[in-house]
Amino acid sequence: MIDARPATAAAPTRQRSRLLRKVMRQPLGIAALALLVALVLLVSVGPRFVPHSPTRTNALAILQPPSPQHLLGTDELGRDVFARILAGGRVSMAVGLFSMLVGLTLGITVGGNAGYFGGRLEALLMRLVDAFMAIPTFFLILVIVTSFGNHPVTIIVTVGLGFWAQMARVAHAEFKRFRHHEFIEASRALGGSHLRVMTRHILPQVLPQATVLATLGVGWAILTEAALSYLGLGIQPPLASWGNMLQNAQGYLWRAPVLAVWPGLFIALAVLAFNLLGNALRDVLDPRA
Amino acid sequence: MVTISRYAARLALALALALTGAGITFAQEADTSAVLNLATNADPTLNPWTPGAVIESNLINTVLFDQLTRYSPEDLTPSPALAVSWTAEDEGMAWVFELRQGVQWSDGAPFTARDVAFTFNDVVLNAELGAQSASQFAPIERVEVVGDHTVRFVLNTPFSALPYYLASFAGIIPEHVLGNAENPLTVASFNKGIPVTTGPFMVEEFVPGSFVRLVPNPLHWAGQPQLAGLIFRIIPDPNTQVAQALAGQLDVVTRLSPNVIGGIEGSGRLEVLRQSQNLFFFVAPNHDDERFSDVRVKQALLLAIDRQAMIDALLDGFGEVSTGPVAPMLGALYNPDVRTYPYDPEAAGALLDEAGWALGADGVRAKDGERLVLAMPTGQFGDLVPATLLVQQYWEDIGVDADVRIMEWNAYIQEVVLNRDYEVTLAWWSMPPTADVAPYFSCAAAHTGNNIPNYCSSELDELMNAGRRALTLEEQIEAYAAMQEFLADELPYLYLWYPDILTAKNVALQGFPEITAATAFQHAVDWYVSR
Repeated sequence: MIDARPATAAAPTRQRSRLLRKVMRQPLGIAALALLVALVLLVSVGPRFVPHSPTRTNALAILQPPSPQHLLGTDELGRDVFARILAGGRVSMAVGLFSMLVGLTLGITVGGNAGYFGGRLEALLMRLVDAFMAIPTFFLILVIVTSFGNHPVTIIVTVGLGFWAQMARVAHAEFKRFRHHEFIEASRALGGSHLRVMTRHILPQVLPQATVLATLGVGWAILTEAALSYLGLGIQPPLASWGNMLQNAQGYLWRAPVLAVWPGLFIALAVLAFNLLGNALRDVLDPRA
Repeated sequence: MVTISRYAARLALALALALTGAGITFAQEADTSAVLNLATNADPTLNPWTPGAVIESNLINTVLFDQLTRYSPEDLTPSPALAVSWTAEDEGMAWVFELRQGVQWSDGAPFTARDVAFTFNDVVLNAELGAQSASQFAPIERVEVVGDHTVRFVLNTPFSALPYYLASFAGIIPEHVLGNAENPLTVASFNKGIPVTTGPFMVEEFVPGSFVRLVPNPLHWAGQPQLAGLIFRIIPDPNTQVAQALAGQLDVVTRLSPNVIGGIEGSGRLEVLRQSQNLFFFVAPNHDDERFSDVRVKQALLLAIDRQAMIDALLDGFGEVSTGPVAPMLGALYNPDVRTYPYDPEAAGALLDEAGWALGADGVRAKDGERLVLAMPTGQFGDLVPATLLVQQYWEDIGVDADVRIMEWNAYIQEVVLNRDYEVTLAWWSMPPTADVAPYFSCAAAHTGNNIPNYCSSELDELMNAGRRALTLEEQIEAYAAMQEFLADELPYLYLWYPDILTAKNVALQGFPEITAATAFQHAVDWYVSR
């Protein structure tokens, strides 16, 4: 009965403050968001303030400990580790973000159409999704990268492919749930095309869920790129990524174990931040909470 | 006091003698139940001549397949194995080998001259089979069976280093087993199963992807080894090999990276052997590219590289700047008095200016509007990628742009080494311990054989042939000194360094020649584990 009261000007404000209160109850999420903003700033504008090139080698200054000159020391070829962490972070986070976008777009397109139109199209598309989910993701990615090479774009698309099926299932369920709602039928009756109904009316309803999945997905994609690069199949040197820095460091585990710590730490921080933010977003956006 | 102290001294001396004596007997008492664990990086192919049987197969094949000669543990000269003596005839145009009597294959069949003739005539010299390292034996015309235990190698050109090359991964394979095979190099039951061999150990079990188990060969001509067996474990990752050795699961690890020996030396269970090999790292300029017809360009590129700094950085100092392809381990045959190229970027820049390559506004040199960009593909193996990146930096400092492309190892071998699709590339050659380097430098090996830089000079060919014709050591020293001078002046390859070859072994393993890894495995019959 409360919901039935006539809408007043105060309602949006109250909703907003309730959302704000929910957000405030997620200190971990806020911390994660702050950490992410800091990481993004660091890798995007940071390199301007580092006097060293991430690819400049110097055989006379290898494996140096941290110093005011080299904040995190130098690696096995005398390259500045801090400059490489920043440059590698750019690559790793960009791969994470863009492959998530690939997975999100593909997943929503396939799942959305299946859910909205139903029938044979639904059966066909969703069986395709099932087939994809039946294949172990990482092996699928390995096979694709091995056969199509490891150009950064290939890696972004491939990692995105590892993530789209899950997204498609969620989109499918949501689109299916909404397609018979009155407001959808009203929109159709007013002459709205299928495309308009799907993008203008249903998609906004799905976005909260998609945001949560996508946030968790970025963390997963960063980790997957790191794993690929660690196996030597991901981003190729001299381009740095956190994953291939970790791989390089492996050969020096006895001589300079700290080389493995820095990229490992940054991978952990970025993935942790995305996961915590994803969890917090889910709690905030979940109407049952 | 004097008497007493003298008495005490005598007693001490006697005690010391007794103790050392006891110590020696103690150390020499072999544990005949011991099984040694070794590592290899991939499934081996148990036939020394199968194309592609390389680093993962070499050492196990050395234990399994005896050769006509093997390296002496003292000075790496060829010493008797399946052959007991050899002499050159016809002014170096033929070699006669007397074979050992009474040798049996592991299936009991007798070893005769026909096995040697089969190995060379039907396998190595059969161009259709493309046998591994066949190009090293190009001077052999054919092998004649003179008697049951005498063979005659007939040559098409003098080849004084033949006994050395016969000690370099040149195992004899059985005619009575492989003679009827359509392709004796691809018999799966042999290559990946239980081959018939003459070595001190023979295969008992081969589990692909896991291990190859060897047991003593009861028919071996030098008697039974003092071990219960050898297990070659297939462990692709070098770090895992080291970790397992530290955990006590491996007794020998070959081809160690200098970066891991700190952990090994502190373990107490393992010791690191610093071995040498006739092996040099290089940057090969592709001489099909006319920019390298001007020797000043090559000299400048070499002068620009601080090789000692690279050795310190990449090898932790375990190596030596090379002066040419012949390594100092060859003793008298090594000529150190040749033109050298100490690090001097200014001199390098001056040479390039002189050659017409002027520094452009973008920091890259150019001549007639063409920028000095060198396509530099490299393969993912060992230190090749980091070494290439360091060279790229040194060249950038003198205005040369190396366009580095990192390739998967097999693709690199195919495109760069076999198809010669590159302008410069960094790699290494491991050669038999002789100054006869013709298979890597001669015109005949350009574009097809081991002459990766496609360098061809009739003057050099003549100098190398002079060495092959020289039958006494004095003549060889003289001929090869001249060859090394020429190689240092003309730079067919840009020589980088001779690395130390590092091997870790269990301290309890004795009778293990330290001079080179190949020599150690050729004398596996002498290995024992002290109790």
